[in-house]
Amino acid sequence: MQSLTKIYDPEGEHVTAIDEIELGIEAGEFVSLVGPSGCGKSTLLNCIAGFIEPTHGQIYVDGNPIDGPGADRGVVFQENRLLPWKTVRQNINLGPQMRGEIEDGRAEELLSKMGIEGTGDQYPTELSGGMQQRAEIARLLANDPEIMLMDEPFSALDALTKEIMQELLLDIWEEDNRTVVFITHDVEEAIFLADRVLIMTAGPGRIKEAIDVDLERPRDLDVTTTPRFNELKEQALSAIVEEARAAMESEQ
Amino acid sequence: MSIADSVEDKLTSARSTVDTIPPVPRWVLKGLSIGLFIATWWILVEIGFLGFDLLRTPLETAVSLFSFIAGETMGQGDSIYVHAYHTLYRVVLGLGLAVVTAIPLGLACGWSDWWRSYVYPAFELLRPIPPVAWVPIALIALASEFLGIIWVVFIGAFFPIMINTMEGVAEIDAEYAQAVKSLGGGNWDLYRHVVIPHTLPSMITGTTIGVGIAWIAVVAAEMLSGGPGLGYVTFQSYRLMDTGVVIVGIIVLGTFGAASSSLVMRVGDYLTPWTNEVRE
Repeated sequence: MQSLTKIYDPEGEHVTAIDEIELGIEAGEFVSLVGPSGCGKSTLLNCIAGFIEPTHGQIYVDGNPIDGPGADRGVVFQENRLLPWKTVRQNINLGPQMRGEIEDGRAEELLSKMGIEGTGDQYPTELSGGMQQRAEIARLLANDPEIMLMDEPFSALDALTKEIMQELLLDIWEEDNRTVVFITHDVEEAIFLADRVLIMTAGPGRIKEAIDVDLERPRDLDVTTTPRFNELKEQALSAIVEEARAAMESEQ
Repeated sequence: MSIADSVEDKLTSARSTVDTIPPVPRWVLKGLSIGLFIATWWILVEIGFLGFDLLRTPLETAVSLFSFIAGETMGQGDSIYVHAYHTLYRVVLGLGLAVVTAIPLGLACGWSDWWRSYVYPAFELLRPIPPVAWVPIALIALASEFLGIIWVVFIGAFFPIMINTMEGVAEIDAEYAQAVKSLGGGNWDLYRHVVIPHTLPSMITGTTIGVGIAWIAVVAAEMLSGGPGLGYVTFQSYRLMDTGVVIVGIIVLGTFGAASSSLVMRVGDYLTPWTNEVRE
């Protein structure tokens, strides 16, 4: 995947959720999208995933326009979407099964990589929220997508589990160099994970500011206490506060 | 001491007295309830309350039940096994036909707007008709007792299965479909991995309701149409005032009804292991 450009302004019910965004994401880049709720973050992600079609404009992956969802772009949902009628192992094997190429032992390998070995025969509802998200990421990895699209995947988790999951995600990303588009409303999470943090404006959604995160990798949570991290956080927060104020004023 | 305090004291002492009485085992309570029912039945027959003097006592009923099980003919000429076989066969056939037609139709009408707009209205027209009301027209139009009864059982079981299946499909969360698609799945995968398993519990709920209605329908249809069968022999014996057979008929029908719905539920639990909350 070389360049990913998108230009569009879909108008669902005449509400312009996102307006003529132009954006290029490099292969292997980790990008976080931050913005107030209702700024069109999820719309943007759904367009990349191919769940919805942009009203205007086009998204290209590797120079090819996307046409509907595909196995090259894996999605992790906010509430996990493991199929509840399949065991964890069956869920992980689902992508390979649909292509007719289940690899024996691959599911177990991924389970232990995600730190949830031994849960393969359980149903998703028997696992805790954090374990369900691990299993969902394992299902994604089993499909070996080039791009991982994550829509606030950790927002429903408690603080401690969330931190563990963030570090786990970075480990996985550093290993395989997939491209990640990560949506969050948590500025610290965005900076900690990403190479580039994109701050979106509300109604209509545009990209207000792109902050390059020049923190060294591999990162662990200690980085969040460094002065540089705080500088970046200040920068991002001031952009967001400015945006929120503008939004409130325009409402008055 | 205030009134409130003394009331509180009384309550506390009352509670401690209650606590000292050992709890009655459940089977004793169940047995007591059944025993009370049988005793009431017996007393009503003995004192001849309204027309109860024409009925049989529990003991007489038990005796005739065992003699029928031992092979004595019931009503005119046929043994209890022949009657039970005919009724069971009709229920199984009618219900089976309902399951194999209502589930695909429910899936289609639930999933596709086209089916829901153009096919479902015809079914909706027939749905409010109580199954038993079909008996006369089914007997005439299908020109055979057997087919007439099968139709009534079928139509009774069909709608709960179809409607439940449709509603099950409608409740599917779009994100499950999105998840399967972004794992590379096509339309067939969507059906196989999301639509069918998601709807399975609703299909089973529909079938459980359908079984109950099938029994109601078969008894009513047999009472009106004749031929061997438990509903027929029960009604025929009423005409002959052979109340022993009537009561035995009710008992056997009740037993079959309970057994068949528990069978459907067991099969259902087996097919949907993810819905069993406690798994060890």
